Amino acid sequence: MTHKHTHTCAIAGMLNIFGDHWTWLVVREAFYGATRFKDFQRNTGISRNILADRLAVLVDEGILEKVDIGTQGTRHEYVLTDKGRSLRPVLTAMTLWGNEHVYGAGKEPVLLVDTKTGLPVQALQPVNSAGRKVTPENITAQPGPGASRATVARLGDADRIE
Amino acid sequence: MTTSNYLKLNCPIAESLSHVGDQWTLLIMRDALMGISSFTGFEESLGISRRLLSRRLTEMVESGLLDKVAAKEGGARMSYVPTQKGRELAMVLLSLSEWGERWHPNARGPRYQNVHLPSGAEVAPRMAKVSTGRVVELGQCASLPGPGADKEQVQRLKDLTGSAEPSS
Repeated sequence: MTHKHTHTCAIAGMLNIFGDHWTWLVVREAFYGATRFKDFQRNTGISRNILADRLAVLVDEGILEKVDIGTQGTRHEYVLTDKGRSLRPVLTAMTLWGNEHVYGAGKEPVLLVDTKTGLPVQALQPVNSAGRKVTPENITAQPGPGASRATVARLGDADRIE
Repeated sequence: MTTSNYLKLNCPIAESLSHVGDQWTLLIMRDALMGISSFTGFEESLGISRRLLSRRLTEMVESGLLDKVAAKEGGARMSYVPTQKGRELAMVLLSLSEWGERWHPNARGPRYQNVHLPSGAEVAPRMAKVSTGRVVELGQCASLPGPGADKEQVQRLKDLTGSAEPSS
């Protein structure tokens, strides 16, 4: 990508890594279980050179680990690290939003289900540090100790995030 | 980027990205959900060119993420207000912000803290609510082909997530 956000903002920081749409689809495939170059390529339809580049970025960023498996034919596999696996809520939120607002009920290409019961997932559930459920309507963003003055000013008269 | 290939993918993540994949779009939505509504408000907060901001705001109105309304009845100044579709991006933003703070922290400490207002406790989107209202671990949720999946997709998800079929 060509520009970097300079804001002291976690969302902007993340978008510097994930500015490219293909990067997300590579991560999505990793969550679905793809590990080999040719699986990523087949399932996303990305050209070989773009895919090689995006995989290298994801390895550099510590989201995927390149593992030498030393067998004939396939020499490397790409595996999600802890940092990569912790993207699950982001992908879940994007899947649920796309299903609801773009496809609509009954037309979803991919459903998220609870593997123990088979029940469809309806929403992400925010919890506090004690693991207790909190109502999304009551969540607000507040400036933290690392906030810039601009962030403090912006959040000063902020409404609630719903 | 060009989205033509990409939309053939029939995937909710790809679709979401085609609506909000531009970085500025998500940051505009972040600000809008925090209560910024005027063109100058977004301009000051984001520091992007007026031309780019204007283009993104127009696209966001067209794709139904923001409503463009008169700031005061009969007045010429316009406000940009999140629609329901836009408001429901809050979980995408919350999860992006939590991941960013965790893995790319600022040396001085968190920039944003997502807190539950009545209690002041920090929150994270770590669980999922299923159709019966029960709350389960996100880690035990898996992707399965839905009613809108094409044949190729069904096979692909089966190949990849063979172990993720419901176990009951």
